[in-house]
Amino acid sequence: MALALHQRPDVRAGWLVVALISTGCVTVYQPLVGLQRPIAIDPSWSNTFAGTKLHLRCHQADGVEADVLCRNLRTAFSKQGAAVTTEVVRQPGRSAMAPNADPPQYVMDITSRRVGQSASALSAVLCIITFTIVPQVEEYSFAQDVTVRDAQGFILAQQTFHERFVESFGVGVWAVNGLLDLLVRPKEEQVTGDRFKEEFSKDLHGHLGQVLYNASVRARVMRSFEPDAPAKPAEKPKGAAP
Amino acid sequence: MRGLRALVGLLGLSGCVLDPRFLADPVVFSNRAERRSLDCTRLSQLEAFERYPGQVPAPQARTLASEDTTVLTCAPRYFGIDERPARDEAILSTLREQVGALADQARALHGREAVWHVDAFYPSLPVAQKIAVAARTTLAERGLTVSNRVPTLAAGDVAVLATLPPAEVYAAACRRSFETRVLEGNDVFLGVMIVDARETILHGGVCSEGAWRWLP
Amino acid sequence: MRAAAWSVMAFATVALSAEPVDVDLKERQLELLRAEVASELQLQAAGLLDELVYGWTQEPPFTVDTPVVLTGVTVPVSLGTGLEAYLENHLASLVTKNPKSRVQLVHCPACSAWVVRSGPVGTVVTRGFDDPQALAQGGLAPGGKHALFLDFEAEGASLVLRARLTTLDPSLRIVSARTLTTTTSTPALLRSGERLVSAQEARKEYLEALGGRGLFLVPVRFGVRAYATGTNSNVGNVPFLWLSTGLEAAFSQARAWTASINAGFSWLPQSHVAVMAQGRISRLLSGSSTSLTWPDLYGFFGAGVMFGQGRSMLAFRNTNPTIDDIINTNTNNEPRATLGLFSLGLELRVKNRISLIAFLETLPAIEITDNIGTYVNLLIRFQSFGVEVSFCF
Repeated sequence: MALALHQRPDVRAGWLVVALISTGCVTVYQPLVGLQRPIAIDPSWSNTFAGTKLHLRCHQADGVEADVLCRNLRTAFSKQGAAVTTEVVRQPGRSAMAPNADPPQYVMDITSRRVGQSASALSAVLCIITFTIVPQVEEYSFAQDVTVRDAQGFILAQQTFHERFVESFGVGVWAVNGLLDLLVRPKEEQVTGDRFKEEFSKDLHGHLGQVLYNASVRARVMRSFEPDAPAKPAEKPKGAAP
Repeated sequence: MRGLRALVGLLGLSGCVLDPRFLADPVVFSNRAERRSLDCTRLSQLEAFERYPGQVPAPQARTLASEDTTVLTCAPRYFGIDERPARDEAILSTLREQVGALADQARALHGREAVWHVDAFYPSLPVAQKIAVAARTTLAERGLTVSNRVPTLAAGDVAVLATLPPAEVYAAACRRSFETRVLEGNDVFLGVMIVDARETILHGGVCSEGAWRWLP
Repeated sequence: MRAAAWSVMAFATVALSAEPVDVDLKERQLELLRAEVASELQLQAAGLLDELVYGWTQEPPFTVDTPVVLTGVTVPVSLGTGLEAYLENHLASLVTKNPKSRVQLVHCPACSAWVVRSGPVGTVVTRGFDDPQALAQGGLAPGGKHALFLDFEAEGASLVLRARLTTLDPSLRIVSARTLTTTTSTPALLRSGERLVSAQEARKEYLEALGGRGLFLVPVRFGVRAYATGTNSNVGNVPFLWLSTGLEAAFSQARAWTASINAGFSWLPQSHVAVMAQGRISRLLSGSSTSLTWPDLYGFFGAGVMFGQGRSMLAFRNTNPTIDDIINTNTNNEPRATLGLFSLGLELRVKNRISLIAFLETLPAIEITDNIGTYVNLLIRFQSFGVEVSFCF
């Protein structure tokens, strides 16, 4: 006896494959602390940091690739006119920066770390038994601790940023939002694809730029607006690698 | 409206796997502007319970021991990011912290016998007044003698000072204030200002006995 | 309510509209936003003034009743609304009702007027309260020797009130200063101006209000269950009237999750006598905690068992009633039925006191549709629809 179309194993398998192929993630980025505040500099301006020598130190922490962060920030600051050197600090307090004939004016230390991750077992179970029609939701929270020092080690600026990402995995959430992104939403409101990364990077780079700019103005005030004298070679920091 | 937005505020208990809000995190249904209109902070469940009784359940003994469970608490900002000029909003949002730090530094420089006068220098007059009021109130709360009077130089002095660069103008104004007896004796002047159009931090300087000194 | 909306809203996020391009439109939108912000600020600002005056009643800034000129109220930057007048009136009302504050507001129109004074250093244009000498020279005595300055500013998610009391003499010395913020004070409660309380006391009252609700409630429910007409019947089934009571327990003060057990009784002369035991688990949909001021919406799932005796119970059999069945009912050998049931429903509850409940029920033991039909078929057949009014004690 012939089976009804929806009962045939190959048709069922086909539907399953279609469901799995079309399953995707929608990630929403939410700035929590600091990053949602406006900034006064224009990060697209190419000479905001013209003539500024910056050393970026990205500290390795849980859940974040410090070398990628440093690379991205180097590009961002270079586009704004800064001469940037980078360093990835693998072990806390073990900077490898050696005395330099041409030391940087500013040293920016960034520690980006994951501060939380949570997922719902209930949503995972529902996601599986509904063939991902009910989405699985996971949340990740990160923090960035930023400190800017001058060549002598005087702290010019300090700030901490927090943000979180809510990731929904499932065919329903992906398909509906994909359609809305395609047909209705303006680009800045889109949620599928890597849009969340662009939005976060734009926020973080902009705010780090603002922190550096504020630090440079504070340095000027501390010098009583005297022109920046050539910096003396930095002393080898305590605990620096030989 | 604010009430509804406040309900959204408590975004969830990490680790509470049976909470159906995990199936529909409020942030998923918000647009970009709404996501940016919240000031959020992460609290332990105990602290969140104390601050928001009735909204956050009391932690169980097991949770207290582990301290793994955190609550993200969000409060809507009164003004969205586009409603006030960017620099004004950035400075006003952090006014208490910035002015508090400057007041502490200034207090450390002079004893209780000083009479403080305060003014702020900012391109927007309403914001400048807000900064000055915040600084005066903070100094007075710290137990210092503060006058509400703003020292005013003569129009001729102001006209000359306006031609000077920032590096000189505050020191010159300070000197002139004591020379013309606008300030005298124990009077100490605290100036709070920005010195660059693209910065979002406040600087402070103190004028005492005709000498100007920038606060670190 | 919003949570309920989320669950209905499929998966889409809500940002659909494009940015307005019309400058006038944007300006109008900004005006609307300002009005909204002002209305949100109003209650919080009034709460801060309450706290300020309460502080004065506990630690008066003056030892004797002292006339004070209110020089004006400044509101957050870019908020040009009538908020100032409201706050001035509120402060005047509070000070009048709280003489222990030792502050007596006096009227001084000249103090906020612009005054011009010429001297050896030039001509100075200033507000009256900034130059008391000019007022005195002009014969405009302020009527008080002190001035009160109030400044409100929105700093992120906090509203900050800075209050200064100054002398109205050339020194303009600040005699009292306070900074109050909504982050440190209690949530804005509609407090009575005659009986101001401290932030700690307000919090205690709030906790007591929460605690007064208790974790346990005794609901008494009056309800009716209607059963869908079967395919083999032209006459509808008799609805069952129910009176039930039991115990409801909340898992926390928030009452986000509750569980209840109930015993019910139903009787209709010449028709049936029935009893039921039922348990329900409810989830708050309208927020993360029950509201003290707004109705709360719950969704619930229930399971129970019903036992009945009487002619109406014939409908709950998986066979069509025969003439013998009907005759037997007249010989005191009444038909009986025992059924399991599962229900899904919504409950709208006001202040944990009165609620209106609507639900659908499925009777899995009923396999045929001849006697009892189906109201809704969502993979599961729901044969019964019920409504209840509940009073909680």
